[in-house]
Amino acid sequence: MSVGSHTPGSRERRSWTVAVRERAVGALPPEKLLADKQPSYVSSWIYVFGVLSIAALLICIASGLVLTLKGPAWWHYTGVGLFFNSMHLWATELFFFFLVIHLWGKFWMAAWRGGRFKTWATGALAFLVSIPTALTGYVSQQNFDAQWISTQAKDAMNAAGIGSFFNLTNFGQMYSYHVLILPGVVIFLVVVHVLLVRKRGVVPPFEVRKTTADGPPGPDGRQTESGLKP
Amino acid sequence: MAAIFNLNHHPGYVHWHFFLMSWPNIIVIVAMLVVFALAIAIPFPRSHEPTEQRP
Repeated sequence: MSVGSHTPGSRERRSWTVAVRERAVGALPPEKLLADKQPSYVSSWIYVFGVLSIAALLICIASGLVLTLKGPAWWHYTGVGLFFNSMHLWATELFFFFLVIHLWGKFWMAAWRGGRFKTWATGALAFLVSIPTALTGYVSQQNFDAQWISTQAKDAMNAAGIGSFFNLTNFGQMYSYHVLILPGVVIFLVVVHVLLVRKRGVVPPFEVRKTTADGPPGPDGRQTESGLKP
Repeated sequence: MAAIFNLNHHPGYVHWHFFLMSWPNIIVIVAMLVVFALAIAIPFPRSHEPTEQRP
């Protein structure tokens, strides 16, 4: 929008806000972004683990914000603090539990089909970044458990060649990674992942091949398509 | 959970040749496999809401 340059009958000059808006609405029109219908094939339990992972992530973020506001003395020595600390831990456990099942389901249905490679890649990347996010959380607990984990895991960091700038025994550094940098990356990747799911749609399952029950076995001993039960 | 299970001790390990894993990790991995299998096997409740037909 350019104030002063717009005269009746003249063509509106394109600004970056207009370009972004047109591109965003073109890629994700409102009926696609907030759809009220889903394909019939999503009526399967295997399709619920993505949203379960997001639910666990939201609990992680909410409980983590409270822990960040209150600090280590609170989460170690008060009843409510211990409760939030436990909620943060178990939400993380459930996040990985659901995420791995989601990953298995999408892997075996080849979810990158139909132009969905970016959806698959952002999901896989979010999983990979979640691992150091959790690790930096375990070493930020401020207890003997954190000390044990950091001294054990630092050898792995040194072996990977990143120990000189990623020091697991440095609480300040690990805490910054855990509450700011890595969660920001995970949230960004999850948001992009969900928008790509909205844009490309949920991947359909493989077609069930029509077969009969009385076909002969194939030359390699396996049943041919016509010999498989439907 | 801690009230049900005593978590204040070292976990047991399964050590067989090169394979070494704690029981808690084994239980979680087996639970994931079981939930994955159930998610495929158990039918999803049918919705009365209109759904888009498969293209």
